[in-house]
Amino acid sequence: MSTLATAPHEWSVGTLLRRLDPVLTVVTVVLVALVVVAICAPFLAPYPPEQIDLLDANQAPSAAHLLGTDSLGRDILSRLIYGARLTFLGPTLIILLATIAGVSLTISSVWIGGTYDRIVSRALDILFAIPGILVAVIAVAIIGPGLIAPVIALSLAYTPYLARVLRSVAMRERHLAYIEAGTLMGLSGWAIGWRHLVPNVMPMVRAQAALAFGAALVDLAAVSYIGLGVQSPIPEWGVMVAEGQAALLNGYPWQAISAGIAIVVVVLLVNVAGERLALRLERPR
Amino acid sequence: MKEALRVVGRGLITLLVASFVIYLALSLAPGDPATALAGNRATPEQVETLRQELGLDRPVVVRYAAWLAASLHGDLGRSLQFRQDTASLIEPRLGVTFLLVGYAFLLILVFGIGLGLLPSVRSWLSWPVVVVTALGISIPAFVAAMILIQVFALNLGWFPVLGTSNGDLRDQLWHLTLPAIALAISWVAYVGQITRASVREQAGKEHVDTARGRGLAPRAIFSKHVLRNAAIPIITISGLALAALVAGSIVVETAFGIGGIGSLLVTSVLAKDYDVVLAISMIFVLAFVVATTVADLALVALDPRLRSKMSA
Repeated sequence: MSTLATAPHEWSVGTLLRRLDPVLTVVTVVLVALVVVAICAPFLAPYPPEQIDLLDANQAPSAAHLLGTDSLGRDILSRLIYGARLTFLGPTLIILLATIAGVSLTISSVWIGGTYDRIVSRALDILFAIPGILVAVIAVAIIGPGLIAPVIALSLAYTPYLARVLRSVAMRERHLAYIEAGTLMGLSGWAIGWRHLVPNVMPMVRAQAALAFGAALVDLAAVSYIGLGVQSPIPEWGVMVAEGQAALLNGYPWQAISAGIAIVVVVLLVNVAGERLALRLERPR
Repeated sequence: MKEALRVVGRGLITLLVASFVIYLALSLAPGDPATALAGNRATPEQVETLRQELGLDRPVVVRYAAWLAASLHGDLGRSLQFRQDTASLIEPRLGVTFLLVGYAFLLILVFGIGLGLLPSVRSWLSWPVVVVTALGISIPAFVAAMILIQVFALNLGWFPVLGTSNGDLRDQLWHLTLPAIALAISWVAYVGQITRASVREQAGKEHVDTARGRGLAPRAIFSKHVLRNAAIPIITISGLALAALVAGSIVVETAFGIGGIGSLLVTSVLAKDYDVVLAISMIFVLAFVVATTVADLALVALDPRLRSKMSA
């Protein structure tokens, strides 16, 4: 954005602190901490996630089991910690793939224009008309239940979302003077696209990717919840809500509610991060 | 009028291409329908004859055209799982799903737009609305389902826990209340957020200041100058919401054990019942295209600028 006011050499501690968004910083720290917990699951989880103890089934929270146990006597906290791994990994892959596809398609079609641009735009519009969760269910019908089919499907489904938002920014940047300067200097379209256009639309990509991450996490957990994604007994938060539902109906709500709240908290944090990143775009400092 | 025809035409093309893509994708699924239909004791020759009868030896475009022609006449193929016509299998379930989606959509319009308008009625409600909508957006339907079942069905006993009713409409709606809330909750929050932002933006416009300066009644300014312009993004999002609710029925019907087409899709995928999967997928895409097209038409009707700009 406006880089004249803050030249690179002004990166003192004072400027850095003034430029930091306190809400965004706190949210980012919490999210990073959660990812670290997920990665270090074997060291942090109090019990192995698949250790069954039928004598200890359906326990309410206690000192031994901080969030209680499920209907097979497995420790819910340990399953939540292990479950965070697949719960975070899936949407990360989806957003990574969708961002790469969305950025490449948008930049290339804005740059090339003409018929190619029209075909890409129409194809993305049509993809947009198939709801993400339906794409995932159809993919499971073809490939079979598991994490792979919904991840591929949702990457496809999220590409038009990212491409649509990016397009307007890319169009605006395309006609700015620095792009023309690059053309006059004899740089190739490829070089201008990747070295100049992409870095300038990156802040927008980051904000949209964060917002899409939350939605992708919800979609993927929903696919696992309806039994078409990650399969029980592998711990994953959507699976845990599904497994916990039977216990909840029998009067033991701990698993379904704690896995559900875990999903809400992470999605909320990611959404707040996305909103703050988007806000920074509107009011550049 | 010309613009309205363009919107409808675009919807039809999207529908045609999207349905072909889904047909193509499902034709890639492993397993041979002819082998499955012929049963275990069939000889290879019998399977081959059946395959030709079913037209499976023809190219996929031809098969798609045949499927499309048949489905327009109400023939959606046969369910292997239930051993009956797909059309007669889907028909009774369609009503339940539409009732659920309609109920949820009503909740979204009333509470979503209502929530978004609260800050313009009482300005101190602005930040509570921001917090509530931010939280609401983050609640997935199946998590909302757990909380609603626990609180309103198990603890308070106000609503039934699971299932649908065969009784009159009032009893059906009573059974569908918790599912509709679960389905609607994140969209209520989203529509609320969009409404609030949109009204705020329009209320800050210069022509609104001018109207205020001319001494027009605040109520008239709000309805004629703010709300009419603010309605544009709200209508677009409502169209998307309606479309997404239909797909959301997949999850909510499973959560509450409701026998609509959403839960039928899940069992059909698990049973590899491809004719049913195909038919329900098409209904969902059709619903999506109809909802977004109707929203686009409403925009064209509401905004004269859109008419002249698009046809120019």
